Amino acid sequence: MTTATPAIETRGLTKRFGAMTALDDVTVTIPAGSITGLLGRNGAGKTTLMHVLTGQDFPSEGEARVFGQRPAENASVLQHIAFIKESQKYPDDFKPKHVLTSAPWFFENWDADFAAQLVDDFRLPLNRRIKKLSRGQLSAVGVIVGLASRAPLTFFDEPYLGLDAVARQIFYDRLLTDYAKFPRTVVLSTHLIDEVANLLEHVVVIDQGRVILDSPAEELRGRAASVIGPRAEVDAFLARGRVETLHREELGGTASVLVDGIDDVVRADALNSGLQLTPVTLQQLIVRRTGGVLNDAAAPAAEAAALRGRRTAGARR
Amino acid sequence: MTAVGILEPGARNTATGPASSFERVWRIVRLHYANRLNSVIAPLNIALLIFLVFWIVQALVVYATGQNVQSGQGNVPGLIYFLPYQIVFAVQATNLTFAYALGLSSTRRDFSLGTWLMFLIQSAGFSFIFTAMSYLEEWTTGWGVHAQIFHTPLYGTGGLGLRLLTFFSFVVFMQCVGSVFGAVFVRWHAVGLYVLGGAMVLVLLGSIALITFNQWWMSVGAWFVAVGPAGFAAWLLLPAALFAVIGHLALRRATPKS
Amino acid sequence: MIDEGKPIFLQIAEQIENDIIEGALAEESQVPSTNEFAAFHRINPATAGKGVNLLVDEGVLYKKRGIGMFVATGARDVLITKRRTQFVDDYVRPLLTEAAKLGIDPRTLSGLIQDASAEASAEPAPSRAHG
Repeated sequence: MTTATPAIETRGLTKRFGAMTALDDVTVTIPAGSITGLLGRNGAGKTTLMHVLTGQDFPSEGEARVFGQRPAENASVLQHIAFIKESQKYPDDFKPKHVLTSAPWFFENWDADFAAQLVDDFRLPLNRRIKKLSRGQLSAVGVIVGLASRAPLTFFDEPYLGLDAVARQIFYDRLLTDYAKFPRTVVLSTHLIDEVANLLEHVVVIDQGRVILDSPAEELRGRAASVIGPRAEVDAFLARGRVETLHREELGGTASVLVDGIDDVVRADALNSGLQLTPVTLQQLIVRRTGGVLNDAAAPAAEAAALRGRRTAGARR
Repeated sequence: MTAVGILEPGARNTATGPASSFERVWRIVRLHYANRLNSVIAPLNIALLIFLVFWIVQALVVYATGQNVQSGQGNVPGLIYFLPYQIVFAVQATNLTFAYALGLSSTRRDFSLGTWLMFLIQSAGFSFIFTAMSYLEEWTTGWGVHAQIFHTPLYGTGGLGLRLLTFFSFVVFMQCVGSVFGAVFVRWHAVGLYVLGGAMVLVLLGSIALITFNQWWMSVGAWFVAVGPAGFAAWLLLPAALFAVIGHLALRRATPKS
Repeated sequence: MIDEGKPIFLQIAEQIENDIIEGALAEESQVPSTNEFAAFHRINPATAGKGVNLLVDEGVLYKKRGIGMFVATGARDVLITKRRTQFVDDYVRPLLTEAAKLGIDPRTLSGLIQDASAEASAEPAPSRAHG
């Protein structure tokens, strides 16, 4: 990246609502021309951060800069931002056609043909009152505005509640294709981490208002893994102190430990100790990092299967 | 990958440039008219409804009594019932469009300016319609039944300019009052409305008490006579502007909460 | 198609390498564009570009300005040499580790490999159920 000014830069950003601290000393930099995942549990502070970055809310302390300027009440910055949020309110009696008529007035890069194509893709009824739309159709309205606006900085905050798997796939495909044609900065906030993991170039994870992970997505891949083997061997491996333990499970004499901080040296060490290394998904890493329990039913089953261990860990091709 | 082609401020893929300050305000005006149901159709329907109700009632009175009695005792025109609706309209325009306008990355300042401009356009439009109707009402001697729907004692037998000013001032005043309620609701929610409503009642009662206690009613009456109908209508624009500014001050730190 | 636990750009580069080694991408033929890779694998275009550029840096691919990426002459031989070096690390060493765990000495292992190879050429190897 040769772009001088980052799309987003915050320093010590703090936001309090009464006694509650929604954002706690958040310092992040999001490069221009990337798709960044803003991930974390519900209530972690993702939406608050986006509210501050889009000038919809004001920081209590610290600083937020978008394209090098403060966003609050700053028309020259705000007109380059599209913020698509799950909770967006529309005027009473508005229909999707009113949204698609008025949104182009605000986004200078708006592509009407693209919008029309997306309306077809998502089968959005244009003439139905927004209050009568299903949750998925309501999400489609936002997704269409977010994509067709081609704003230099586009935020999608849980953009697809109620959209089925097919519609979500359409969203990912259209986003990728259009992003390739018209590179811009996209911030995607979602809890469907596995679905978007491959789209992301950069990952920021927030937990309880704090940034706990801020890294290029590729660096996270392979950084964490489950180390599986006889308990004594696993403990000896962990005792060497090269990795951080995030989660531990035991079955009989076998231990499976999810660790963070794997590199080539650690990998060789584990393999030489006769331990298996099985990859974990970005979602598993984040879930363990944010102190949560895996809510994905498939994941524990996968872990259990790994625990019973059949695969030879060496060939990872 | 180089930065060339990345959409950054200043690098656009269309011929249109960034919006000027006026364009940014004007698109808020257009936003208010994007769906004409609330901004045009509903108010006109209400004016029409008021007209029909008053006309029918007056026609029945004339038919039943056989006398050409002036309705409303020559004081209050039927159109007075249109005014409260303008408060409701302004509350809705402020409350519901605010979150959407900010969702489209408008500033609060542009939203306030655009909404004020919309109020002015709206009031001017109604002023033209009502003025025309007031002349029609005279020429048809109260729509054939001596109905007083548009004739306002304030302008008496005044001319075109006075009528336009009077209708305009009253409508815009009501909208500005409504915008304060709308803005306070956006900023402080229901609690804000209770406080504001209470405060307004207190100020009103306090003023009346103050005037009565000091026996200033004569002076107040004298002031009305002195400024005249045109003066009063013009003076009404002052509190209207004050309310508009108060509304904006409330919006300045308001956040569109879900 | 895209595995967890390994940088995607490496996987993209490996897939292109596989295509070249297997002959699906002939030398001097054009490689799909970064955006085509991104759309096909549903990955970030920048990540796909990083994979392609890795091979450009290694001289496996080269860029024709304004046209696209092409497979360099001699790329296949270079890749096969590289893969043979990796083969020891990726396959032989883990095999030896596992064999040592089971008490199979290298000589026995070598015999096992030859037996399996003969079986494989005769018929598909039967699956072994083992606890």
